[in-house]
Amino acid sequence: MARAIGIDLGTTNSVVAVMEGGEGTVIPTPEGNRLTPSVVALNKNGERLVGLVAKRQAVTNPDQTIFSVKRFIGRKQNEADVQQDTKLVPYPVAAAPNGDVRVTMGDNQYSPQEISAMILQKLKADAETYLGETVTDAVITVPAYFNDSQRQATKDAGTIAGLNVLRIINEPTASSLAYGLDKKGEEIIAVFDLGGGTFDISILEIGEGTFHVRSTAGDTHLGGDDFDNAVVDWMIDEFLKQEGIDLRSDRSAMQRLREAAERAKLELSTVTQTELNLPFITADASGPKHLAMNLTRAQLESLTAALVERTAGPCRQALEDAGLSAGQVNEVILVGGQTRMPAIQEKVTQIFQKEPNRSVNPDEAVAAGAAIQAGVLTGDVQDLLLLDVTPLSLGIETLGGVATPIIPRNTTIPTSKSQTFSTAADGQTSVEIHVLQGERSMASDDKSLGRFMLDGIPPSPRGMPQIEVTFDIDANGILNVNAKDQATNREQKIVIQAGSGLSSDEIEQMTKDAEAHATEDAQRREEVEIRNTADSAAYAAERLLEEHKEAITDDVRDRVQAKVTEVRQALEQNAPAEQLRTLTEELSRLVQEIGQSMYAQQGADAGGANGASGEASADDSETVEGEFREV
Amino acid sequence: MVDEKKDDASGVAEPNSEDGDGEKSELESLQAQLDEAIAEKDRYHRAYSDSVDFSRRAGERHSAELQYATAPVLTQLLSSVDDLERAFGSIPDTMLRMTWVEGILLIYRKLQGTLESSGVTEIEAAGAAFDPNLHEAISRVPGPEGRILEVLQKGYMLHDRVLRPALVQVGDGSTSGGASDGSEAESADDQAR
Repeated sequence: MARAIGIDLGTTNSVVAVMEGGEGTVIPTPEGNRLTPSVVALNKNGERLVGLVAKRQAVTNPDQTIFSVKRFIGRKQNEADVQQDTKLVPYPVAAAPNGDVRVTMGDNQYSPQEISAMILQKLKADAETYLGETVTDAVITVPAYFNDSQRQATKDAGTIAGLNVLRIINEPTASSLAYGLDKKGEEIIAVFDLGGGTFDISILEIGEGTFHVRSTAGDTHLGGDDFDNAVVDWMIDEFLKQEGIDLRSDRSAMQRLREAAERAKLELSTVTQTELNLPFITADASGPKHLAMNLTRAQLESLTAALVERTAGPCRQALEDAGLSAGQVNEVILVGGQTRMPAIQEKVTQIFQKEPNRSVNPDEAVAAGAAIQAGVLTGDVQDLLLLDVTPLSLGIETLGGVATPIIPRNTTIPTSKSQTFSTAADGQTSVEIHVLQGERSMASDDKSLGRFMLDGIPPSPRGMPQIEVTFDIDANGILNVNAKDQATNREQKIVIQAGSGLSSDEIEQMTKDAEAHATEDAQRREEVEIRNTADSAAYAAERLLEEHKEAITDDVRDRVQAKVTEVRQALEQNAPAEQLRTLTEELSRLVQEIGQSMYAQQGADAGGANGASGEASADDSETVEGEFREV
Repeated sequence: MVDEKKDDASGVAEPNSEDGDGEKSELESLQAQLDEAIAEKDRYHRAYSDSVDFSRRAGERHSAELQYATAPVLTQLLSSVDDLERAFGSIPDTMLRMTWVEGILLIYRKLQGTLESSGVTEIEAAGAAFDPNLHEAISRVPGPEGRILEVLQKGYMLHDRVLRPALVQVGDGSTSGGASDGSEAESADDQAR
């Protein structure tokens, strides 16, 4: 089945993704990279280079290496922005007869669409290599502020590249899809996108599965690179103070400084301080010089405070243009690598008065979302797209008030799972199925979804009946719980509607509680298990004594009986788990003596005659020894 | 039944249109349900086969990628290898003969050995023709066109993938005589060596 891909065609880098296992997955290049630089070049031999290879030779070939062509696509050469951006690129930018932008590579002029098409062609080829099949259909993303001409030109680029462009979608919309926000009903979403070179803030309104862009704002020259530069500048200044040497003129030192600065910035998102360690960074008459500096997160934040602050203005502008207050935004999502910085997340929280959602990889959200849209548009995954998961475990209450899960949380639905249970008491003719939702170990801490009884169970010793309990959740989230007695085939069931459990806030709380009480819960569960085991052991021991009373010596019987009484008393008095465990073990050892006693007895009776022992062994095969049935 | 017909008959016996419609629409409804069921079954088969296919390919990719799983750690180690080479590159002659320094050299050789046995090989760069598949150009300097004149940072392969490209200075085809004051970068580079 032909797969459709999603493409994030970025100014600096592009990413291609495909729907796999219900999620948008990024496709790596054959070289193992998850990003493809949006760079195209013509080398001295007239060969065309695209991607990382083109970027690596850019310095040797500035006139014929085209990058950032996204700034020109769908625009006229005489537009103010175009004139401005032309100054930033070393390659010649000209105007076509109709005023469109033209760039030159070798002897030919190309439109920005044609250049973008070359990038798209590489992405297409890499996707085909990865998937092992031809790829034709694609969804390509564009900034929300792109006009018709820019969108059409992007679509044309896809067509030129041999792709059937299913749709052009907005980058913030794609990110929202990656975050699964289309399933949540009506919401106002703010998409905070801070990438390598540009900042975009978009306010979206979602209703009935459609996305509507209320407003956009941003800063086309604010990104992660600026943060790196702030650190590099600081390193140079510090080194100048320490050693009196200005590293700015040393190209290879600058290279090392930039790499170290970027790495330090990344590290400081997770640790509070890091060392910048560059031995032999330079040398002067007195010998080699080393750069060794400590940079704390606080220092980094102070160095980049102005940059962080620059995100605030566009956010407020976007809210104003949308006619909304910060409080009216239901959710904020983060896109772009720089949003990993704690200071940025704090700023976002401050501006929108709520913590941002950062559950999706910010570098890949746009491509992943495009892939999801591509999957939906090709139709074959339409139903699967609505694959939900059960947010919390579903199960029943078992002996001792324990919650026993049958469908673990995060299982994709539809799904069906069964387990077999039994009775707790002799002669028990009915069981109560108490359906629970939650992660706690005790039923009383979980949410009760419903109860029903299955009766008509033939009276039997406890632990003998086989009651199969089946939990079935259909695609609509409706839970059917069915209990069936294997002996009589009597069944009873209950239907629990979707959404009758906990709300999403309650689910979050429940999950947090479960984590907080994890040790405690594990202990309680263990205690109940020990009690149940002790009880079963006492019961089984008594049954054995009863069944084989003729074959057991008085001495053994008395000792076992005494131990059983001890265990029962301990249970009644709610003795601590450890004590119960010890008593159970002691009982277990004693019970083995029953067997020993019986064999010994048999040996004495047989008196060495083979025939007799033959008979005795036939007898033995009918007895059931030392069986413990745990409930 | 005969009674019903009689009831209807007021001259012409009309066909009992309601029943006919009922049968027809029930048939249509059943047909539609059947069509949907067939389509649903097809969707299920496709989804199942997608799932099987995904599992298989995920497994294949996993095995293929495993050999490159060490890449991030090895790349970080290379940075220290660079530093050691810088250190030895500027070691005073008097120290070279010291036994203690020999020891450090041995440690460095051991580190190189570890990299080699992990599948890391050095990319040939000095004096070679510039190849963007293996090298990254940092600057252009006077010299033979397309030749690597200086390696600012060594490049390495991990198995058959580029782990780190060599960072190089490439000749721009001009003669160094004509640009003897050269670029500031070049002289600063000399100083740094």
